[in-house]
Amino acid sequence: METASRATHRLRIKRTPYATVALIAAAGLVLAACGSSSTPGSSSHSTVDIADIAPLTGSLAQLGLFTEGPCEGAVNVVNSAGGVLGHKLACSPVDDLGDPADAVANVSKALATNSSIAGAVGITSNTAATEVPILNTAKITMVSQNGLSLYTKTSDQYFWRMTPPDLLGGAGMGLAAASYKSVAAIFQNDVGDTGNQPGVVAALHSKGVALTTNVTIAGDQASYESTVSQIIHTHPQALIISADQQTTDTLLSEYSSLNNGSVPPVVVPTDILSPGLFTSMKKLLGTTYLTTKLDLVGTYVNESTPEFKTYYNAVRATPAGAHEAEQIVATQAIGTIYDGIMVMALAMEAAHSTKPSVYNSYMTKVTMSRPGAVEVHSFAQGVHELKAGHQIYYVGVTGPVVFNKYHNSTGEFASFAFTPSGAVRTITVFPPAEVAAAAP
Amino acid sequence: MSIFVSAIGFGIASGAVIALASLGFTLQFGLSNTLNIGYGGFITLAAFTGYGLIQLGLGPWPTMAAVAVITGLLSVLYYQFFIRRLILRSVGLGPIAIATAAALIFIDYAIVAVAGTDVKSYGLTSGRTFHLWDFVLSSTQVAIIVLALALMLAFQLLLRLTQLGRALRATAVNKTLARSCGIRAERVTSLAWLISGLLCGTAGVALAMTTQAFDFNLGSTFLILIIAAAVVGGIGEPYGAVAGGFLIGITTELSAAYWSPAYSDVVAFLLLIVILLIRPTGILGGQARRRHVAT
Repeated sequence: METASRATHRLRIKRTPYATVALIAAAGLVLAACGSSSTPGSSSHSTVDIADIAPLTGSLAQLGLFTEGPCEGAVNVVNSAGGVLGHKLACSPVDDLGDPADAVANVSKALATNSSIAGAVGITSNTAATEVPILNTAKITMVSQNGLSLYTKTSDQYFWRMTPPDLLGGAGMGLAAASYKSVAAIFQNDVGDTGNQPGVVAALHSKGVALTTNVTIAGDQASYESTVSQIIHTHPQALIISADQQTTDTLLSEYSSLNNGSVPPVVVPTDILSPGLFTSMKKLLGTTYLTTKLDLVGTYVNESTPEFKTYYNAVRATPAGAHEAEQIVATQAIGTIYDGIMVMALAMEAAHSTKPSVYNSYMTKVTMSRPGAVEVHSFAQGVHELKAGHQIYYVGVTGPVVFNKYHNSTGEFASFAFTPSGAVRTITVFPPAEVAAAAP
Repeated sequence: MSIFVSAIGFGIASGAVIALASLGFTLQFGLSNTLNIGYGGFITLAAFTGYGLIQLGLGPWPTMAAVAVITGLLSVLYYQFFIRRLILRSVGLGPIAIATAAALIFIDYAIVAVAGTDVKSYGLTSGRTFHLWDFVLSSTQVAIIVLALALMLAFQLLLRLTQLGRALRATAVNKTLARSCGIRAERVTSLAWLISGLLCGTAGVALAMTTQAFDFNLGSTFLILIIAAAVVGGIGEPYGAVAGGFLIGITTELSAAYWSPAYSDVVAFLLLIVILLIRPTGILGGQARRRHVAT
């Protein structure tokens, strides 16, 4: 997932060793599956499970907490419209602990023991390299929230992504800082943050912005004062920081301390958003700084649409989202979990099957705008049109879904700012073409 | 020169916190022959207890004092009801270390259960900045350095000038012999765990003040640096732990300044390997013990 806390696209993993482990696990899974011939939703009243694969415990548990609300909200919306082909949808949480090795065991176990799983969401950057091969081998349609550039051109047929890769995320951050003459860029040395680095550098270069510092740092250190001191001496007009919240907080507070209380404007990815972020940063930097000098850059979602309101209400109605709905929906790319489930459910309806090997090819058919197809904005509307014999294309919370031949749909980017209450408002929307042009 | 001097200053600031924590850690090892991985959990617990007290309106320095006392008492309970029982059952050094690693996980997740996984911050401003030659330090950092040095000096005086200090040193060198000399070794060991807990609590709050933001991984993240400082200095040697703490703090800042901040820890641990290859007992390992025996 490109959003929500440090977890989202950290830890870019070399594919080879994990892929080997994953293939071994997947082979075991296939063997296990041979003993079971059941199809999701095969009995008339059984549920169809959507696996919500995310870190639900451990150091990255905040991310998992963010995925639960949209997942539960989406299945509730589908179920209130009658379910899929008479079956109720259900979210089936799968805890991958944000760890690639744990992910292999837990995802394999979930697939081997739950034959009702017909789709998957989550599958974040930390663990995607091990989870995607397992799910693809098991022929489970997945809408992944990972940002790894590895999947920009993938041949995995069951892989779908509505989250932009890190390269474009970095370019978006660079565009957000394009109005400054000089910028210092700091990246934590993990897979997601260093994934943003080429995009940031290319975008700043394309806009003629001087990059005074381009440095990679280790995360969660006691002090970055030597680095910060050197950055201050380059007098940047703005900072771009791609790091986890703790590291970002330490950097900014040390910048303030070493620069007589003054910190230039800073651009950070929306990945950093987590429950409690605003409260924590407000203590260090003050409300005025957060609302006027902090730009968050990430996937754009138009919050004025009716489908966004439906999404927000659906999230708020869930136990997981009851107290964090504002923060969850503010984490824009989380909306792709909701939309992903809607697209899968509509694909099942269009294919008249809950079996992934059947409905998977309908993922494009229910999202591709084409002459004669009816634009739909909800599951209920989509089912209605399908039953009327019409072709449909779904436009959801995250806008139009345009899957390319690699099953990627990147969407739009925007910069956001905090309001004094801690909510997030949109500042500038960057069209996909502009971001793509600025990317390397 | 400016970069060099300022990096030394920053290194002293971060090294002071590591030295404090490392002093407590090595004291536990010296007196109980226990590699207490759970020490990281106590660091985190101290930081979160401090957070709770600050939320209740207590000032940062009274908070540090209160947390030190609380952590000290918890440390004694931890020793009496956990570590000591393992030792009495003749559990080996390795299994005890594993058991304390389990304790670390238990403490960390107990904190998560109570406080959640959110990043916390005391929200303390760094205060006035002091410029001395090319040293640039905030008032908080200066206070932490002074406090760390004062605690280390107090510990030195305790060891050198008091009956308890002599008992501590004797027990550290040979517990059986100490007992035969009339020293109540168990009581002395408990007192050592109390002192190490006081240092751990102080270090936990100081670390949270230094990093400005922390989560439940705080102690686990810094435990490796704390152990490294103790090992570099000579495990079980209080002065060695202090020297190791400052050495690691300064090395990481210098490597960040002159090479890459992404690899600052790598340089620190490379230094550890080199020192151990040259002096397997650490910088002060063995020397102090021989001095204690002679005293």
